[in-house]
Amino acid sequence: MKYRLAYKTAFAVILVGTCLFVSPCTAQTQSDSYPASKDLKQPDSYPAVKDSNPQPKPSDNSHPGSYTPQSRADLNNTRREYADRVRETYNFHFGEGNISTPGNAKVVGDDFVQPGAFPSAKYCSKCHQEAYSQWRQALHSNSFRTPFYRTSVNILARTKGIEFTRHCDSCHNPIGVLSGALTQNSQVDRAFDEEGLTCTTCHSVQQLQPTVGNGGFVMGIPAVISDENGNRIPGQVPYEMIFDHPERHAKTVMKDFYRTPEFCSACHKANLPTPLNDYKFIRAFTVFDEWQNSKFSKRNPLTFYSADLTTCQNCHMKRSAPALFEVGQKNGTFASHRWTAGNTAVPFYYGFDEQLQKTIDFLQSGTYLNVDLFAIKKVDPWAAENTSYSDGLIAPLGSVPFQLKPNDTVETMVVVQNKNIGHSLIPEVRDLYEAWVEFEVKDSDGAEIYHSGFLQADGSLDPRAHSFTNRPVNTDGQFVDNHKVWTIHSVAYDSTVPAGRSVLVRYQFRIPPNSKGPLNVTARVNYRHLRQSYLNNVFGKDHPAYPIIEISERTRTLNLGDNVATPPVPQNMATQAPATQSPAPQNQTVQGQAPPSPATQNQAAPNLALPNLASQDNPEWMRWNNFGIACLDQQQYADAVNAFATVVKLRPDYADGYTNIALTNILWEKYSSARGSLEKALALGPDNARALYYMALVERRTGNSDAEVADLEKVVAQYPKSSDARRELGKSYYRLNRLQDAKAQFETVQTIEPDDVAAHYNLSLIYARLGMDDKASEQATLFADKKADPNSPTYSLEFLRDHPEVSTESVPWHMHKDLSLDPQPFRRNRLRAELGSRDCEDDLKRVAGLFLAAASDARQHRGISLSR
Amino acid sequence: MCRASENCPWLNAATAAGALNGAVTFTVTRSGEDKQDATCEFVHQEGDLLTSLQIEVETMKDPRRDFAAYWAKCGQHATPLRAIGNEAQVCSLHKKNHYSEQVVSRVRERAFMVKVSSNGNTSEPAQLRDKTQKIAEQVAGFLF
Repeated sequence: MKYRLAYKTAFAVILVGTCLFVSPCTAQTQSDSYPASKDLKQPDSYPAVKDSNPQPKPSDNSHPGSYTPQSRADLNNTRREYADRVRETYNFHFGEGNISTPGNAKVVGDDFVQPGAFPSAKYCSKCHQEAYSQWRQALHSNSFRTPFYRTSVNILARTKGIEFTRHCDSCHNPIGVLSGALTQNSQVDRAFDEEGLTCTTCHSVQQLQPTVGNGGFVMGIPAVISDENGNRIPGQVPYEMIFDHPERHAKTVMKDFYRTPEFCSACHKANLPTPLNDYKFIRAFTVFDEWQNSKFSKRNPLTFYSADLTTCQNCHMKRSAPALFEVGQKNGTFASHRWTAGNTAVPFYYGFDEQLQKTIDFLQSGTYLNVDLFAIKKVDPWAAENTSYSDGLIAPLGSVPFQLKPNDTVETMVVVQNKNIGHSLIPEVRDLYEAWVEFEVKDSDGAEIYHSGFLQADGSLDPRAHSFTNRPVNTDGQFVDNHKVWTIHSVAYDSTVPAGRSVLVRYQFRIPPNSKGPLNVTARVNYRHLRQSYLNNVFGKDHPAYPIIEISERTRTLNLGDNVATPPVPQNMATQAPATQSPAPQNQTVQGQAPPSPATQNQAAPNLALPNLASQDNPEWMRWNNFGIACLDQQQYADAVNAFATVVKLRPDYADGYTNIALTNILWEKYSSARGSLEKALALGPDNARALYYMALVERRTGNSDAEVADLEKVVAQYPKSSDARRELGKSYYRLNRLQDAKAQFETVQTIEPDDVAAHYNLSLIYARLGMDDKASEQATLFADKKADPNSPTYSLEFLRDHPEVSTESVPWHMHKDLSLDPQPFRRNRLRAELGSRDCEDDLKRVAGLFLAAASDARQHRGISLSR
Repeated sequence: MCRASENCPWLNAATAAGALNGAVTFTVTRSGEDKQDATCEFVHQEGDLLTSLQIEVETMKDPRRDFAAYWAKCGQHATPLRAIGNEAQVCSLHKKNHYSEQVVSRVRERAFMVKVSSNGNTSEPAQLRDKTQKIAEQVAGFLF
């Protein structure tokens, strides 16, 4: 943008006693980056200014050939003059010349760039109508302007200062950052806000920084074409230039690395650096690393399952036939610029119905999640759990006969598998987005017997629901509401389903004495964007109900009396035949929405129930495998081993089954047992990298260093981008005093994951021993900044004491149950009487929590360690 | 170069000048109990052509009751708008040789009005309306 602001006059008048403050001023502005109307001519005075903008007007571009690009020297001068002017008043809070900290965005030349240098999306739309149409409804084009973002970033600007918003806006509004607009009293025309990440932000990136996120890119001066020597010609050139040399255009705006996950990592990875929070480095989200660790990256040998290489773009930019004119199509298809993912709130707010529907379709497609009503167990609610949990397990449901009768207390095991998501559920900002398990038991009349994960009257989620959310807290132990991430000091609770893994959710209910069978048991995973309290913060409470999406669901019918075994539906039959008796057809009801609110807009959430697809169970061995994985992650090692033993019984050819047993035994510190299982896995495949990796750990434990190194070297040879394998190999080399080899491994780890704490720590030691003191010091500093603060859990304890329902959820192995099953009703009732509380369960837990905390303090005073 | 004693809290002069397509003069008038509300007026004059942008933000004590009065400022011929604030509508306020487009909206308990006016008969109402809506979105964004 050529931009000039010359105030002619200014005066201030304070009308004493009237509380009116009038401050007229005259500003002369030359702002031609976004002329509001192509038909309105520029004032005559504009061209007279020497820093005339090199960009043609959209109207100019409608007449190709009417515009002659300026020389690059002129452009450089224009930029220099612009940058000099911005610099005069720019708040360099984070150091002279540092324009984007606390974010990481960089631009070629390391100086401010005129916003008008970025050609508008409308300009591109002449030939890329499909891309423009999709982009306009996509999150990228709305990355800045949405109320959901502004509500949070405005708080940062008002409380800490607008200069801190460069952290968020390095990704949400990079033109704002790089143009120097994010400073006090900025006089940059903010018309670009409405385009968020416009075409020429992504398509001008020239280089990627290490994958640290927060805007880890290097922006070039936008250009849509290059000259015959490959020199970029900045700005909006006449279309004829592009028509004459389409190959130069393509080469200028497309780079091979745009197709890599690393490109996405520039912004789909974030941390909270010390300059932002004045505290320390805290990881925010690492969706890129989650993908690296998933089966889809083919970079990690340790995944439970395998899959073909699938990048971010493969899922979120699927190719399809364009509906509009699009010169970027190839072979009749075009990569989607909708980036469909999980955000339903933005299209709902803007009325982008097509985007909303495609988002819903996306979430409900692809068997991303699998919900398995895996097992039940008849339990005595009064008995202590002192036997192996697997005893009495009726599993997998549908495969074994059993009986139920009224008055039985039934524990139901729901296994939620993250089957085909290349990252966790939910991958980013779990403090705002909300996924949870809804579990219902109804009798034959439809009467509710048990319900968890319902919505309360105010639209908020049942506080005892099993949710995939988190609870970051501040130094007061309070939940960091409104996404004020700069105040986060600890995370009191963080629940997710990592890519390729499974979680076990347990529910206990009692069949009423007069109940009529059969019972319908349903478990589903719901998702909404955003949490109700955040929507309330954004809009106040009088907003319409926002969409809730059922991502996956399973219903089974339980007879009172005999339940016969029903063979699972073979996977290859799934699309040909509906499920028979079990599981039951999927529920077609509309997911519960917030109660009608005094909505001020005529908006209504669409029908978001799952389409009537045939419900499918995984193969029986996989159901056991997922149950084992879930038990493993909940530290129920005996049950995990039992589950994996069943897997290898069903699939003796499945090497990972043996490796899973070994992995469990390693975590259980039963190394000799682990060795036996690993030998079986390696007998099935001597080069099995996963088995070799764990065998190396067993060898290390038994002091067989050569074997340890040999195994890990084989793993690294197969998976050179495995940070886990290289980290362990680095440790092995270090223990053998092979410092250069160790150094090489840890340095490579840093190219894979620059924030790897172990790499910082080990490199600080290695560099020191190699006499590289400066680098040792640098790594030691990074380690100190990035390692967990041992004091931070204190803040979480504060929160958990006040939120017993979250405290319960934060224990890996926990039960959701009907309160009527509480084994000590007398004590509960007495406490209710004493406290006069309507919800004595919470009070009981709060009192118990305080008692435990006091006991903990007492033990600490006596010097008793609190080991697990 | 002179400095205004106070900038408009809701929109900077450069953005206003971009919308009005030329140099602007502006005034900022604070109001409300704690002076958190304000009215900003930007004016661009080019010969006889006068275009102006007025932004008025007020805090309501009882939005359910009070907002009706703001809403009424658009009269019966208002068009509902989506995705500006909590709720919004736009209307034309044309007088002889004077064209105005006005957006009335609110963000939570704060009502705001954006009016873009021109005395030039060359301005097309649709463009004036588009301009008004874009400025209204900017103001709403700041108020969220």
